[in-house]
Amino acid sequence: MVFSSHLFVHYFLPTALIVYFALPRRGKNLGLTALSYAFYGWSNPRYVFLMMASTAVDYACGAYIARRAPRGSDGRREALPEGTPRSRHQRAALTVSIVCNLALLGFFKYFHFALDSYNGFFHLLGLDALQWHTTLRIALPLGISFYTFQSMSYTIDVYRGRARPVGNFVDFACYVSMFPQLVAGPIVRFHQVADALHRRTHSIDMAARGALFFCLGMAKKVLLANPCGTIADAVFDAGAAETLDAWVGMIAYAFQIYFDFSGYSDMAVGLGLVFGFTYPINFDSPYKSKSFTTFWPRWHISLSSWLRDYLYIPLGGNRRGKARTLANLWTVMLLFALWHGASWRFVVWGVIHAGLLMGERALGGRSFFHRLPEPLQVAATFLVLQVTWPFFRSPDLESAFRLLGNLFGLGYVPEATGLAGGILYGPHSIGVLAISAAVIWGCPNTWHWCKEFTWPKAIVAAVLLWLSLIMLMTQTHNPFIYFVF
Amino acid sequence: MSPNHAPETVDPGPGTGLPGRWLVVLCAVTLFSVPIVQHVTELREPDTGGFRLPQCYDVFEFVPPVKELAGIRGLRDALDLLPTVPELRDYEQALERQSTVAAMVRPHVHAWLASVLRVGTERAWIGRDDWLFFAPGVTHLTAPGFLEARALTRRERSVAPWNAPAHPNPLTAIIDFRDQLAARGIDLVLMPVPSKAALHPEQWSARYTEEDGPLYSPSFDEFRRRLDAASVHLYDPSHDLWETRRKYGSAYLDTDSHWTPEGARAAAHGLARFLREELDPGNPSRPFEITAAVNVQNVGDVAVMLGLPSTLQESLRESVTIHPVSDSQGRKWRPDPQADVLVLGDSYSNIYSQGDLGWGEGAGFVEQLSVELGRPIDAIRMNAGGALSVRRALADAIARGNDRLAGKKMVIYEFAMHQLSWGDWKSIDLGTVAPASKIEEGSAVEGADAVVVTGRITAVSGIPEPGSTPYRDCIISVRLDEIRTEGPEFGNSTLMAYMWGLLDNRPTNAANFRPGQRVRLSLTPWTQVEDRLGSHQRIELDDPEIRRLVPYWAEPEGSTQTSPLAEPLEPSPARTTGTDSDPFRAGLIDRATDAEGRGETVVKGRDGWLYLVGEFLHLGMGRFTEQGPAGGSDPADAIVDFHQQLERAGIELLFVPVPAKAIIYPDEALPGWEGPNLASGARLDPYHQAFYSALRSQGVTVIDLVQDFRAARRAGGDPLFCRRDSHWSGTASRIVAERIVDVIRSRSWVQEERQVEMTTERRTVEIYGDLARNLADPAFGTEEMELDFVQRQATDPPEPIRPTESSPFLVLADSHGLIFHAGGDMHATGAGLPDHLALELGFPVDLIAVRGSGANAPRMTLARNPNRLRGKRCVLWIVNAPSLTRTIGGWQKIQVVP
Repeated sequence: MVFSSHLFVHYFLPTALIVYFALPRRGKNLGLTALSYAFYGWSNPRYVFLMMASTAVDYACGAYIARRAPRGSDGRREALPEGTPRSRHQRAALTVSIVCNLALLGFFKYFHFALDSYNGFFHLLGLDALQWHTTLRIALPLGISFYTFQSMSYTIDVYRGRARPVGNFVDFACYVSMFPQLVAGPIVRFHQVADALHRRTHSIDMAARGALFFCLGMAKKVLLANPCGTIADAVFDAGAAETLDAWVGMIAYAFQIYFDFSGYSDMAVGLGLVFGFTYPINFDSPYKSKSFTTFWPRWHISLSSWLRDYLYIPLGGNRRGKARTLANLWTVMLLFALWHGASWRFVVWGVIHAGLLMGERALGGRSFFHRLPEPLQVAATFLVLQVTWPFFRSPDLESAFRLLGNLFGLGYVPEATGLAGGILYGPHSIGVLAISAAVIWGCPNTWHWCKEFTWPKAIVAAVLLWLSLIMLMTQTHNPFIYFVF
Repeated sequence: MSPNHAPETVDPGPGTGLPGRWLVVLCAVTLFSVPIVQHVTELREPDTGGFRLPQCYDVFEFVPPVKELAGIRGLRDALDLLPTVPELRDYEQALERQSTVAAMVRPHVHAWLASVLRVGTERAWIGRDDWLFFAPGVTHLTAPGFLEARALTRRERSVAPWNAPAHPNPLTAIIDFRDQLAARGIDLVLMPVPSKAALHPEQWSARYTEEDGPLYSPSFDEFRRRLDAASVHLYDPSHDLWETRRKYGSAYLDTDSHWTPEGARAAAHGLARFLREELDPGNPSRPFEITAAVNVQNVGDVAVMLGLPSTLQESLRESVTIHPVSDSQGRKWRPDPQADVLVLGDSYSNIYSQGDLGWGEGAGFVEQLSVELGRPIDAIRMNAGGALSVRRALADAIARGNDRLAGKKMVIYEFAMHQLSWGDWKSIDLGTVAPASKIEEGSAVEGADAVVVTGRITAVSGIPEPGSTPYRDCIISVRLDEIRTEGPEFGNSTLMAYMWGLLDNRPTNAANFRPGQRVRLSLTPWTQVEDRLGSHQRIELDDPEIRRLVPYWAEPEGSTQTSPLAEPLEPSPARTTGTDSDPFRAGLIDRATDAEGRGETVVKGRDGWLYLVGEFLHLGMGRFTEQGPAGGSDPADAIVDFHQQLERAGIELLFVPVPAKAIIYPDEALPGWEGPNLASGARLDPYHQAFYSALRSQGVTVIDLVQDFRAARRAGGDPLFCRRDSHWSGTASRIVAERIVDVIRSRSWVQEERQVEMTTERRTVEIYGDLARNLADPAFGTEEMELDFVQRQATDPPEPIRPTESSPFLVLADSHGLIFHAGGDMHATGAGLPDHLALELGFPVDLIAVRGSGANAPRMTLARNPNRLRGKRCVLWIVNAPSLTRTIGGWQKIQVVP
């Protein structure tokens, strides 16, 4: 189920609100869990069992790791002491949790990628007889990359002594499955909602702020991301593109993915507030970044910080010399790229970004680039970013390279390709791109805009909600881009 | 590291004050108002099926019954009880489709987007100068070549695991098809028709000029080369269409995805030339000729897909001149199963041929090809069927014992070129003709007209999203098991039926059928309707076992669903149209009351149209079956009684109510009428539909003409009713005759009857209608009308066909059986219904017709002359629909068969 759908907005959400607020306090987590499973099961009911299994394993592992932790005054177990050694059994439990999660992710997300790569490798060697072909077709469970990371972070934090183990299974299932952020983040660490899971308050003020976030998020998705997506699709779905078309398509995609994902995150934050939870920031005006070094800490913050905390720093971060730092950077960027999708084009995308980050690091602050006026730095960063999107969005590596060539006027462009111009340069497309640019570079971040609540903001939010819902009635299915990651 | 490294969480912040409360309330009202409006709307709708919960509660049907839950023995059992992804998607789409608020808002938003921002919908795009384009026709040209590995892989992987795998490679399927035909000594000729954007790129993008084109997909050259290497004949009409464009300025319609009549004729001409050059189509064997030029107006399919309000949609109406084709005897062109050329085609073959598309009939590509080749042609044509459906229809026909390839020398396979990129190119095994025993399965109602069965749905095909394809109508397939009959014994426990899933871009109630539901269906053998409905867009079940069974045409009869939360599966038509017809009925009553107040029996409509007051009063009654007809007796009792008497005598009854004039011409009846009309599609006679369904459930074959008349009106041409007379027009007489004979054509007694050579002659007559006479207003004088006079060919001078008592076919009728037949006050002789029936049947009919109500008098005449039934095989009973309630003395049961 997607937030920007008739079913969610007018049936699921009203039902969820009625059910949730009608339940007594002690039943709210159970109710929210049941609603979340229904929400998740709508994409494919069978995968609910998968999520349940993953939840059960991590709950059991967490409970086992913390089984000897002392109980606090509230009767719940305290966190394990940080820095003290763990037993072999505790390490084994952590290993089970990590292996199970990674195996789940590996099988459902990377099986076909691994198989294709294996077959491709032997094809290159001329050993087709060693290829393995199967009729098995595996569908990627919705949001599996999000909930496995979220669930895994729990056992790791409990092991490290940085989180108190959860009191009961329902609370943990509620944490893993919570529908506002289940399928496309932000990735919530357990400690960020642990207290709220145990006891939370609901207020009209939280609901109002949540509504404000939700309205803005919905508008980003329906009024900007979807129309930008139509423009981008005209280029990415084409076999080739003329140079100007390729740039327009790339910029449209940059706008689409930002509004799509940040819009979803805003809606998730808003819904979380309504249900009494506070979620982390996920986007901080990334296209206003002056460099790639500052871009990444502002894009999909919950994932980049997760990888930083659970991968980059444990690998040594930047504390073990230059070579090790670069290696760590490469590792993290590659995994970051592969998290987004099981394809070599994501690998290439990660390599380019790692290269850009390393290049900036090598040049430091003395480069010509850093002496440019700030707006030019922002513009240059944004334009260079466009060169990477072909690998992120194209359906295959061949198309990505072809489009990359088209950006620079290279490659054969069939005569009929120019028909894409009929979509790209209509008044609607130009208007949408102009408004998107104005919102990105001329408006404050949602996070900051929602801090103060005023009448004008309330009216703007209401108008945007109405416009979004009206436009939603004319749009067909429009899943969020990050659902498939 | 500490947890503090984690990103900042949102700050619930300080109080939000009054603006915050206001926003919360407004959001809540917004979110809740849509479902509340939906509940109120659905609960208030009239429904003959009793109380039903709103559609959203259908979600509880996914919850398995306790009995099944108790039977779970393991994970496998539990998984099997879960709803499937397509079922959930169907539910969600149905909820969106039937949203009252969305239906109100959507056309206006589309209008604003189209007129201000020049934005169409996902699949209907607005080009330059208001030219409209069907998106797949454009994207086929811009997408990677359809034979490129990346394109093939992309399409293979784009299919969800729970759906059938895609077959993106057209070459594999085409060469396989060619091989199967070659094994039977048949040549295959391909004819991919380019899309509009290929011929008129400058109307889509300013980058092109009028000199650029035709455009091709990057793979088309390779496609042509590889077909050439495989010795498959390919005729590409692009260059002939380009020449048409040069000559006429356009080869495609402005607001439609298809070619102009000139384009169709150019393609037919070019193909005939190609066949003569490349193959030997044989010498002309039967001349066909273009009989007339007919002007047709219609709103194009892409314009309809824009979903605009009807007034705006009407502004996009465009006009073309078509050239219908007839044989040397003046008979309308028909596919000839005996011909040695078979055309498999899609909507490019159907346009100007299938009246329901709204662009006239008898003048399509295949008809023009028949003229060019001078020979009859057999044809299987299906809208949206180019890549797969039409080949599958051929294979299905063979599997069911109808070998459409028998005697064929050549198969011409026409399909839209964009299907090369987006079509399903599954290879189809043409197989062998099924043995007789196999064909008998599921055919127990063959020859029994209609049987009501109850069964459990085990599979149902979905419908396309309304507005997502260029076709307003779509037929779905339903598999039914656990069948029980209420009439004759049904020989099989499984059957396959076709039903309307989409009509005029509105989902029918059958579109909401779900596996597991029990339904009652009225079945008619598909063969009886195939001529008329076979070329419509049809979604098949991909089940080889079921596809071998003889299919039926089904109409829902109501619900016997077992779930406590169930809703009637096919509620009365009033469910979908009842609210629409309220203002209509009120308007009619007002007008009739006004006229009666002035002591008049005639109501003046718009543009000189006149109507009977009685007709308005009848229609204004609404649900006449509950209020009771005038005279107190129920017409259904009398009709069913007559049917049963005839059935005992081995005689078939066809009951044909004549639609009220105001149902077909509501806009002329009520000046300023803005409700449902031909464009919006809702029928205005839901209670008649319900009444006919009830009759069918009791075994009576009812031929409901409303859809035929509406389609004919949409197609343009002569009116279906006289403007100033209470009767139907000569055109309608012809359409009704064709429709009736379509139903009985396959009967053995029709085939056995000695054929009489007949011909037709078109003449204009001037009539002074009965309504104008009654009104006696000088402003309403005579009117002119084109009539087709049917004559015996062998006589000189030609004589009209006289009814004969020895005919096996008896027509009982009110004055609709006399108009243009009986002369005098009936205006003409030889151009009425009995004459056209004779023309269509090939032999004269017997006739008992009366002036006045056809309810009792014809049967009384028959009762007085019981010998008239001797040798009869079929009785046709024509009754004006208003007489259902306006028969003096009511409908009586009359003993006709001793």
